[in-house]
Amino acid sequence: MPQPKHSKRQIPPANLSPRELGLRAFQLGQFNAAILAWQPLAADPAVSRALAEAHFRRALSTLTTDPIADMRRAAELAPADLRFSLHLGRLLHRAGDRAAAADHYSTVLSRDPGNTIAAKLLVLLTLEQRSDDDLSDLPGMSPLLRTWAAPALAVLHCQPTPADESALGTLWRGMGQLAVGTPDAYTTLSDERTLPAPALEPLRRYFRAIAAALGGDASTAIRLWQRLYTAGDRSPDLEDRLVALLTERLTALVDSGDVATAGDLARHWADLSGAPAFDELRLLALNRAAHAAAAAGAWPRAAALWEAARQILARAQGLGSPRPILHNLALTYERLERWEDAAEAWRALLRTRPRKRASDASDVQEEQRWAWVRARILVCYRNAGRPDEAVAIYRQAIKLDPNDLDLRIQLADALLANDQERASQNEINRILEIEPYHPEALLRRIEGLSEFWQFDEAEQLIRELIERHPDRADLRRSAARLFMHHGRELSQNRHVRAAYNAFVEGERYDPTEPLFALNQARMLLALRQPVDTGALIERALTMGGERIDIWVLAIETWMLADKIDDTRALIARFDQERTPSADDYVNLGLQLMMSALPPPTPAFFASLTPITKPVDTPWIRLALELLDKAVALDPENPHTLRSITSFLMVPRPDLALRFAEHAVQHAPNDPEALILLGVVLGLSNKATEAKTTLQHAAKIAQRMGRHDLHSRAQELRRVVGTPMLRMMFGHAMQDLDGFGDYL
Amino acid sequence: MSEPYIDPYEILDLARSSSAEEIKRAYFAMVRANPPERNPEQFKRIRAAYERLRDPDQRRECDMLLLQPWPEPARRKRPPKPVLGIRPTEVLAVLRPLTDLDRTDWREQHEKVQL
Repeated sequence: MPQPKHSKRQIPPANLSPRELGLRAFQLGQFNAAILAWQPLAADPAVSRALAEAHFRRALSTLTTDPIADMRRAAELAPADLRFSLHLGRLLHRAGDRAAAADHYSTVLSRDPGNTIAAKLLVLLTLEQRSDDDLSDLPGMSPLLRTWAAPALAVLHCQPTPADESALGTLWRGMGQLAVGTPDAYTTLSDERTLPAPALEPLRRYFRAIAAALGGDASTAIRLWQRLYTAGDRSPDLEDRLVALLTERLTALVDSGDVATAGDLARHWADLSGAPAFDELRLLALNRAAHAAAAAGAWPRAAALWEAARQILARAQGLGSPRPILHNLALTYERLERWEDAAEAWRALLRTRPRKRASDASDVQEEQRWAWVRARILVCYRNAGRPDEAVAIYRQAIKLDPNDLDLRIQLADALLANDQERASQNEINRILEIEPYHPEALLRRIEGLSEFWQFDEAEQLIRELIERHPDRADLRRSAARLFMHHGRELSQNRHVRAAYNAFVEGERYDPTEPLFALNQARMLLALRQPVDTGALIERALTMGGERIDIWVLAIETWMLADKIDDTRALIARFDQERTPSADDYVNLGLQLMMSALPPPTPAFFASLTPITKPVDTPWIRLALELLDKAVALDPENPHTLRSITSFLMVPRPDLALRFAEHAVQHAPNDPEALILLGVVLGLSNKATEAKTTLQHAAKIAQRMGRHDLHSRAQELRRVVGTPMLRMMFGHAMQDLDGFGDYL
Repeated sequence: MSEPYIDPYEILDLARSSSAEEIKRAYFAMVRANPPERNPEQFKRIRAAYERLRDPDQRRECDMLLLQPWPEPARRKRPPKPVLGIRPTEVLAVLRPLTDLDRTDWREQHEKVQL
């Protein structure tokens, strides 16, 4: 670190008096020290004069933050010194206190009428207050001063400017021409001679731009004004003129559909303070251009355009919610893998969330969207390699407002998403300490209890919660979901009676959910208790007849009741009322087939068990009818045929065979269809045909350059005719995720 | 240039508020108009769009991953009036540098201090 330089002169000798110390500091330009030393001696007239000079010098330097106070003090110490009054007036003038400034200028001129500095300043100040004011009675108004002010007054009054061929005179003449709208103004203002003050040069360009704009040359005007703007000119006049001109240009571009140019122009001028119409237009142009960029995959450009839109929206008012822009910006950052920026944008979006509790269905959807955004913030931070950042952010916010329970809920969710289950539970406990029946916190505690199979406690809590908030439909729906979950879990674990009770209670909370009625029927059937299956199915279809899944489950429920005639009758109704698609028939057919087929033998034993002749029960025949219907509806859809074949080939390769053959008939050169057929033939103990088919599939795959399919066909060909084949597919059936690996 | 943005609703020519039934109907109509053997690429796009919207959960996720439209106003705000002629403030901006208002060097006014 460099050592500070010490001058011997700066070290105060111990034997110097404050008066001398002050003088030394003053001579060194250290006005702060001089004032400090002299202040106690201000009663001494000589020191008082020196102190006034020190305040004066400091006021004119950059050493003070309050030059007016310094100048005031100087004027108090030496009221006869007109320098101090003049500068106090000047400083007040600059600060905008025109009345006080005028008083000081007048004081100076009353005692020194020939003070041209004060006289000019008073003229300027008077015109700033009222541009049409009569200057003739102003103090210090000499003929010289009248001549000096004449061109400005002429322009202000739209009168001819005095004849003057100098650079300054030409500038005034050009301005005069602008004031009356003479077309020569641009030429006059193109004079390049040096002006008497450097500050006048940019002003001449400014007026030249006005002349260009009035002459219809908007490009030149914008170019000239842009130079001034870039150099730091932010005067309201410049901004107003730019905004007016740019609004015109932007409107033309937007209306002509030139989205890209409009977007570029709006982005270029994003930091220009604008009128509401200009802001609105810029946002429109930026958003359209950003959408176009995104559609073309130009994500960096889209990001830059939406960033500009965000900047404008942050300053403007009454232009609508920033949510769409923040949403789009966040998605764009994600595309660019700018994860921290994306997280920040999602957070900004989250801050716009209205603070209200969910009460109806649309609010619940809205709440789901906000929950999605919260989860997204965590995903982004995790992708950015900062999984704990979201948690830290929520903690900071809670520190500022510990009683904001919504924030605490968000923290609990963030902790949970960050795999900090214990900490999340603690946060929920803290909320419940503050507000024991906080619905959202209590719901989360209930979910936690349910997850750990503490069903009784969870159910008791949700009943109490609903009692306390009888008007909240969302809580009733949450209760219904909870009982549905409990019912399913219990039935899977063979607690059929308890499951039935859960479905009955769940239906009380959401009578519009048709699954409750169907599940009650199924539970009663499993309990072998008398049940009016038809009535329960009818109730389910009344509420959920528009849902295909309800029809499928309803049909399956008749099957569980072993009522084939009722099943057929309901399928006929399904045909009539819903006109099902091929996919719907596949779903239904496979669902019935799954229930009708005997449970699969474990893969290893399956390979050793001798094949017995399969039995076609009426249920299997019905399921096949539905599958055939699906194929008839969409005969060329390889997906349909493949789904059916894949499902049937292990338990019933004999049934799968015709679907596999059908697929090959439609696509004889499809190696995948041929491989599937080869496998089905192999599983049907037709080894020779299977090997031939797989050989054919391998050849076609090779010809097509599909090396993966070629080697798969060859591999399968090797195991055809061995127990390995059934083992392979037996395992695959038990682990459906791995099923596709074999095909 | 990275992956372009695809809006499944645009592909199926649907509003974002369309019901499941409308989505299905639009899909079948599109497929009929663009069968795979005649227009395989378009068919693929239609199919992919439908796959993103057919399941309610997947559709909700898809909706959140779509760019949001900016609600453009039915009627634009009135544009600012063009500034004609010269404003007094602009004239005085020229007069100002001809005064000493913004001058910073005042050394000639310094007085010597003698104690």
